[in-house]
Amino acid sequence: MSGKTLRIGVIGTGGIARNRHIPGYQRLDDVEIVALCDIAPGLAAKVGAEIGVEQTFSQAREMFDKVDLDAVSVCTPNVAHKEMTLLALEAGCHVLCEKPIAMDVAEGQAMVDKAKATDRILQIGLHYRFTSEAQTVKRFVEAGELGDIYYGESTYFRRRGIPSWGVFTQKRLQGGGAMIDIGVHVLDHTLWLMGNPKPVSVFGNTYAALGNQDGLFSPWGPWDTKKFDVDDMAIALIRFENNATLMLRACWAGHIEKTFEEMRLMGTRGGAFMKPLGIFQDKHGVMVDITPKDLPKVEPHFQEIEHFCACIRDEAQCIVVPEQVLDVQRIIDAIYTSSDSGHEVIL
Amino acid sequence: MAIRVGVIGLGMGKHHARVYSASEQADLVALCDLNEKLLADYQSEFGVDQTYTDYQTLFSEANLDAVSVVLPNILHDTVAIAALEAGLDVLCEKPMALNAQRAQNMLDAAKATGQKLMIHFNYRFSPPSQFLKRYVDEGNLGQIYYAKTRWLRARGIPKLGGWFGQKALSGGGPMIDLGVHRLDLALWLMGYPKAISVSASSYDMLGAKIAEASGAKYDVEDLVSAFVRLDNGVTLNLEVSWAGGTEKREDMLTAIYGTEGAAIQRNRGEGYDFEAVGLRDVAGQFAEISPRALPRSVPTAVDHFIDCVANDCPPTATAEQGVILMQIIDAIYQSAAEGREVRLDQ
Repeated sequence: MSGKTLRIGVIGTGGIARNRHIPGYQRLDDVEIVALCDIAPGLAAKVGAEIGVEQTFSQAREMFDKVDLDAVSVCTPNVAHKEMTLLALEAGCHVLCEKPIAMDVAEGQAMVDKAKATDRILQIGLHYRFTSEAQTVKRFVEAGELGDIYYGESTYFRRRGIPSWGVFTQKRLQGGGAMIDIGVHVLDHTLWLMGNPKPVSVFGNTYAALGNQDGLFSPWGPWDTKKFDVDDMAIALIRFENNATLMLRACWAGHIEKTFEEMRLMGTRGGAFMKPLGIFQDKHGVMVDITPKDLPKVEPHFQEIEHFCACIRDEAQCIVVPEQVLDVQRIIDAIYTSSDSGHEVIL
Repeated sequence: MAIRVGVIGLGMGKHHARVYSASEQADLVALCDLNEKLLADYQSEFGVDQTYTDYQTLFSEANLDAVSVVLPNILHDTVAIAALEAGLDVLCEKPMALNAQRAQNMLDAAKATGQKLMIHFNYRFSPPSQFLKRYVDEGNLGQIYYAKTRWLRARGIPKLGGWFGQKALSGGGPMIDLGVHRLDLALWLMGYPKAISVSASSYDMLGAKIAEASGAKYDVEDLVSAFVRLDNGVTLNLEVSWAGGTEKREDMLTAIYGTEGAAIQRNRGEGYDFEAVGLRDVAGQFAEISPRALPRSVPTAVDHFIDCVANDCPPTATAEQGVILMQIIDAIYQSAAEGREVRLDQ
């Protein structure tokens, strides 16, 4: 398949498609966006006119019937991830599906099973794995520099960052709020760096502390406080089969000094922090801080699309392993269950 | 049993005295200086029994095991040789002597008498330097091929009018006073290669002017730049000044570069706070390795000397190394005077 032009379709032409997926494919040689689909009347046509794509649809089934595609990006609300992905796989397409994989692990499992059955690539849009920092820490971990990792701590706290566009704040369409929007990234890339140990128990709590309050300042424009029915904050403590523990914190809006993102790993032979990236060990008789120099500047969204296309061409092995993504969804489901019940959830 | 030690010269010598005084392995029993006021002050500060204004009397009466020689450079060889011949082990300040021949005489006397002669290369004995030596010795640099070392001051001529600025008494200016430390550090990190050739320039543009303005005696250089080829294939760039060549008050760096990594020791800011870092690939990623915390202190050069005398083992800052250093310094001054490369391998 290498050398042939890849024919790409995009389902869901909202923000992430227009800002990330479409420009990503456009930058690649031998890749062409040939079809767009969006359920909103006329939207696919409007976007198509802007980018020079003539075949536009409002029904995905029609698109697959009429257009010969190699792969699609699924950029719809979460509630449609499963249906669109199954359709695409059945039509013989490889799929790059936005995160989270689906509304729950059962849906995700169906998608993964279908991908196996059709022998097609299913890559979920967990682009944090593609950052310079994550890629570098992964190399350190795989070289044994951290030893056995027994503790992870990962946080993305925004002081004020509730997305006011799209359908992010509607449970019916997304299945969750901060946890499945930014929490999933924080959880997934940390888990990946820890070596994807099997989760055995989850204790979590979610909050809608600011989402329903009127009159709060928002640099991203106002959101509908009446319709807000998801979580704006999620925290969890996850225990793994190898006795490792992960502390997870994600928040769209909270009364803190300022937004910050941090990840810490502690292993028997070394630790890591980002950002800025630092590795910490004992070497040469003292405690040393290892600071990588000249990390390449990468655009993670573009990297994941480039990776997806390389995988389709059999030039790479997909680093976003579907079984790992299902474990992430298992944890997410358990966080909500634990939050509702007030108890630890055993997986 | 504590060794009996004395200090000759109470300028910088007070630092030696402090370490002897604090050490359980040493008994500071005597001080010697021409200046009787200094003698009295330090005698009471350190609780010392005996004071002398004449070193020969010190040697014959004080019954010492070892002595620190902390005098103007011109006196190093005379006093050190006298001490060695009196049966004492000697810790001699840097530079070893005014020139290589006089340094060689000291080394010969040490060999002939069987006494220990250590040169006070104290910059080796700091936590950053000790960390870096270990880092280099572990092989982290691969094959070393390039080095830089410098000590520059924007305006920092010591004690204008004193012996530092008079060649007959000091042997030279910043090269022999400051450069000797950074040159020693570089050579020590590399395992003390010898020099094959030296090409150098020296200047006294600023020093002479400054001295003239205050009517002080001054006939040494204020800046040296040298290019040294070493017998291990390494090229060493050396810059030393106490006036000019930098914008900083103190500008010190010693950096060794190899095929796989680099080792760097430098001062932070413009003072005497030092740091050491390694540079190399870790897990395939080019990275800087810097100690988060170093031991707050390591045994000083004087502590090492005490240990060697008490336990009869050879000091690591050797007289042989002192002579190699003086040979390079001689060649630097010669090259600067003649305006051409000087070869040391012929």
